[in-house]
Amino acid sequence: MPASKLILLAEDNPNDAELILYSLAGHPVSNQVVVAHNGAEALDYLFRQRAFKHRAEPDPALVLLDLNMPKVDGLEVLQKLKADEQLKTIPAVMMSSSRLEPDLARSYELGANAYVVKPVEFPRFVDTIKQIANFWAFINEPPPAAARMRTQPAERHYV
Amino acid sequence: MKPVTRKVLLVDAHAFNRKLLRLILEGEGFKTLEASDRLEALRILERQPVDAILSDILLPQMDGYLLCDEVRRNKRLKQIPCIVYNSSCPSPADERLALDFRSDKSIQQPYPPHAIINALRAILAQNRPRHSQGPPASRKSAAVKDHTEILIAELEDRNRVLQLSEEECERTGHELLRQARELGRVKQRLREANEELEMRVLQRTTELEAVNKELESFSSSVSHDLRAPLRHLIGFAEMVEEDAPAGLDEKSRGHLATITASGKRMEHLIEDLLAFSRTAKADLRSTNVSLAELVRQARADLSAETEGRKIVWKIPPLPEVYADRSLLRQVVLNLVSNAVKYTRKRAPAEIEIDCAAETREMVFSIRDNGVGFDMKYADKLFGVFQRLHKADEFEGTGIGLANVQRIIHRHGGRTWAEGAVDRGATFYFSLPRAPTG
Repeated sequence: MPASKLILLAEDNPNDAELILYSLAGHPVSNQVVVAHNGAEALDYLFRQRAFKHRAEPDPALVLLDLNMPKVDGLEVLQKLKADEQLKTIPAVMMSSSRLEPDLARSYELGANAYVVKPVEFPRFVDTIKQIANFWAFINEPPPAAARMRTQPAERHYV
Repeated sequence: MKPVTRKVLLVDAHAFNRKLLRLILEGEGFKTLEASDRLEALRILERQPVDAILSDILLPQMDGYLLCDEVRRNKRLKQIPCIVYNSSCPSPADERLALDFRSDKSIQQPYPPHAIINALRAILAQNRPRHSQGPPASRKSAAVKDHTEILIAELEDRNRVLQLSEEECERTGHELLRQARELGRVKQRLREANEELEMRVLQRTTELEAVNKELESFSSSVSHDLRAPLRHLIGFAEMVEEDAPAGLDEKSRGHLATITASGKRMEHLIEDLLAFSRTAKADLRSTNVSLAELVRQARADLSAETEGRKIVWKIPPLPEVYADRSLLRQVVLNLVSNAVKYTRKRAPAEIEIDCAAETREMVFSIRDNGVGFDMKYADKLFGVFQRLHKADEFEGTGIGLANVQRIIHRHGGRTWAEGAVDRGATFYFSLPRAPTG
């Protein structure tokens, strides 16, 4: 059984963050969700920078990225994540309010592992979030930790 | 033997005529003398003899004849041959009159030149004695008077006609010129208008394209941005209901249900708007598409709505049409869905689909026996957000038919509808036939 079930959720909208957490209530992963409130914070967490320089947790098993965030948006986080030799194998799921062709294309170009439209209807929303959590936390086999944790990341410079 | 040069006296009031005759005669080896009227002619004749006299009948008044007559009565001159011609208004009577006055020859017209030359030569060759006696003087003056009056009257008549037709000619000429100028102006204006029109069409097209682009990006961004708050609205309302202690009263439950229902309705609206804006952008990928298959798919998609209802479908074998499959699928689904929806209160409902092949286009029709519509609103049916029924009676966003029309227009086809209140409706669309060759 993989060691990490940690999910990093990058979501700037507190309402959406709350809806997602509500959807996962009672789910085995519910207490393993780390919420980054914007893209910059997500990058800090992933790259162990600034506030997260000394984070004890292992790298997340899944990154849920809201597409539209101010300043550093989901696509930028995705790009940095997938460009990094150590982190690029972490599955990244993009989430958006609607299916916009250019966003969709760009996401997959940058190496997104999935693209999900957040349903408006509540039951479907809950169901969708639960399915994502189930699939990536239980059904999907994550890449071996050894593959990307060979070297302990020391000082990383990220601008 | 050196040929004798013959001298001819030309008598004509018109210098031009004299010049012409002079050139003709001199060209033939004659010498000429010229007089413009009878008296001048007689003066010349007194001074020097001539071999022949060639005179216009209509010198001022009847001078040509009188000249002839006087020459004949003059002992010294009476042998000179006289030829008269009529350059103005020849008539058969002239010849008779000319002979009455003892001219030797009367020529209807001084042209063509060979007539005069021939007459001159013939008369000079005869060298016969001249008439010494003419008709009695009384008859002569009476004849002169008659002919004078006739000729003058005729002349005046012809003058008037001539003048009238001259005026008419002038008027016609002016009118033609005016019309030609007007035509030129009209042509120029037309050219300018055409150029302006082309410019305007180009400008409008550019503007329209810009506006369309703006609208598309506006509608997709609005649709996108509206969904987040909507999701929260619905989500939190449901969370309230789920989390509420069992004691949440019926009224509050009803209010929460209204929030959720309204949210869902707005969600559909946004969905349709998004589809509508996508329709404008999508590239057309036309192929041969089976209408029968599209109708079958539409009925399958609507199975939830048709379940438990009695619907009599009348669907003959349908042809293939040339269109973008996924766009046309939306059109057919929309029309079939409308037919199903608006026959909800009929048992049995009847839905009849057909597709007629016409010369240039295929015409699809779908007829139902549903609630129909008032024909006076027929032109509104295909407008965005136009609804003829209350939302609580028949649900809908008012975008479906607008989307149908937009898709069909993009294919170069037309949409229209016929109906009557409570007597059903028929919706049509046409598609150009597949390009051949």
